[in-house]
Amino acid sequence: MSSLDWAVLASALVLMVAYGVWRGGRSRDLRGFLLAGREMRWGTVALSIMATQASAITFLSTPGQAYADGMRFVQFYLGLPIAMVVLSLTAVPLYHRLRVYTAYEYLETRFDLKTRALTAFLFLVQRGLAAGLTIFAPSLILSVILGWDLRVTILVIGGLVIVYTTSGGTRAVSRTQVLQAAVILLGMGAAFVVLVASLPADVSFLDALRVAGKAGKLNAIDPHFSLTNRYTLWSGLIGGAFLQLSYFGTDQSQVQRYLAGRSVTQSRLGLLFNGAVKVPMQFAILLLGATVFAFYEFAAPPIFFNPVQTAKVRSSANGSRFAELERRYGEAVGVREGRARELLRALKSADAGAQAEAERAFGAASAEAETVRGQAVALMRANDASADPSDTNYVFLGFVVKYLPAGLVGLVLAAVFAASMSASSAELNALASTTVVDVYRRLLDPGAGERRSVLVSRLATVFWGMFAIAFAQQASRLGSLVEAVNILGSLFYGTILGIFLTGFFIRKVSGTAVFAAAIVAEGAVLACYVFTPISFLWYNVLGCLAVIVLAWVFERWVRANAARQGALSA
Amino acid sequence: MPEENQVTPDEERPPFGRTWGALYAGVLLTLAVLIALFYLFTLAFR
Repeated sequence: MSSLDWAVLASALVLMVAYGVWRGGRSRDLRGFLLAGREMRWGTVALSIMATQASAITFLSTPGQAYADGMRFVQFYLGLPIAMVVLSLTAVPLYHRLRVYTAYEYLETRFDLKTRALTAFLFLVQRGLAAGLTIFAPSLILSVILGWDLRVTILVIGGLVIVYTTSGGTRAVSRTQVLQAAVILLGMGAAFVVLVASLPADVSFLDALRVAGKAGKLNAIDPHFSLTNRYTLWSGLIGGAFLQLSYFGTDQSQVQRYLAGRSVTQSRLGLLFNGAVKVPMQFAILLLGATVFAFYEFAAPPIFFNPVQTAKVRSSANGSRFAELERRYGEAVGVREGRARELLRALKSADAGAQAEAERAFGAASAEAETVRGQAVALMRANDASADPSDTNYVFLGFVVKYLPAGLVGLVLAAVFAASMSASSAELNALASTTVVDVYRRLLDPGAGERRSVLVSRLATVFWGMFAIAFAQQASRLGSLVEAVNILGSLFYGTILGIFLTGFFIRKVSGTAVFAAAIVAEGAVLACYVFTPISFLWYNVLGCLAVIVLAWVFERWVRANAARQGALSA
Repeated sequence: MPEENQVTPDEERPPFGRTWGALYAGVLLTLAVLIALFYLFTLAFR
């Protein structure tokens, strides 16, 4: 990295933290600290919602996902606009009317304390671990690509977030997220422009799309219904809608963003703006990845994008075999480049036979390059069984570091930090809110005054920040547990959503019935995860529907029993 | 810990679009158009 890049990155970080501390102010009551005094306009609410969902991994992994698997991941977000409309109709007016601080307060109003405590507990466990991963994942990628110390990177991201989140609470988080969104937009936009400008002189952007399309990377929509295919139109629309309903309607890290809106109107507009903009935004990020793929059809990519893994195998006893595979890969991608150019010439001609032949030759050349790459990955795994065979997380940043000019590398890195900090700050803020409102003021010290509660909120923010940093520092040693934590969210979201929807729509169900239904439904979801190949998006539908149906059945059963006993005793 | 005795106007009219229903329909229509465009994009470059 050049000194200009360091200057850009350092300036952006100092600006973000200073801006957060300045705009956060000094709240003296809980409403000011946890809900920004309920004074946010819809634009701030919208950007805050979007910045909370889009962590650094969104900007680092998603382009890599398009590079490896194509653009079908965009279908994951298709249910989001539906969820935004449903929540605008249901949760937003309800939460505003009840003037709650957390989503879980509503559950005690509607059901009972144990249901509120259960969901608050699930949130604290799941989001507490996820906050650690939000910091760990980009830190790992930055340390691998740039050679930075992983521990220091985690400390810098976590430490900066703790400073302004503790200082200004929700107001600092939301205001800073607007600035962070601008940095992200600028960084990603600059990367896209340079990428397109870096294509060979005889290859236009449309040509690049043609090549990516023929390689199967522009597969945005798959209209076929399947329970086992992870991303289809239907899993996205149905399963995705349930997942997004649960995330935006019951996860305090999101609920807190729109509770800070100054009215129902401002909160609704924030959610609806997200509903209109999120899908095209994800499409653009995936298109960036597909264009990186096309770029590397005309410029030799590394055989593996994780430089630490390749350095390890090069310096091992298998080094000479790996060097031979790298040589063969270089030849194969050279042939593939020639075939890609022939394909473009054929596509511009009217000769269907030539097009089919060029497509076949391009496919064969791509398959040959992939075969050699597969052998290199197998050798890497034979050399080190713990080596991750996937390098998708390193594709985009690898391109940035190698091809972007000085200054812009710093800007893109600033965008990565901004994304990580915006998501982390919202998580710490929500964890502190739930700790204070649902645990401290509800169970430990119900008579606590405003100033004491604000102090405890600040202490809770620091605690959860330290917890996230500590978990992130250990995450690399946890191996498959990291994946398990990611899956954890999908396993519980459906059940939690079912509890909330039962509360919203089925008036004659009591707390005990919904609590029992949640336990049984969760067991069913876990059984599906262990014993069936059903894709995880469908767990959200299953868990939610199971809670609603079972709660209704249990309630009927309890009432029938009570009536029977009443008749007997009479 | 809900705050009592404060009223929020639930049914305030949206600042743009005639009614909330029209705004919701607009968001869902945008989604339908995007899906159609993405599908055409998939077919065009297949």
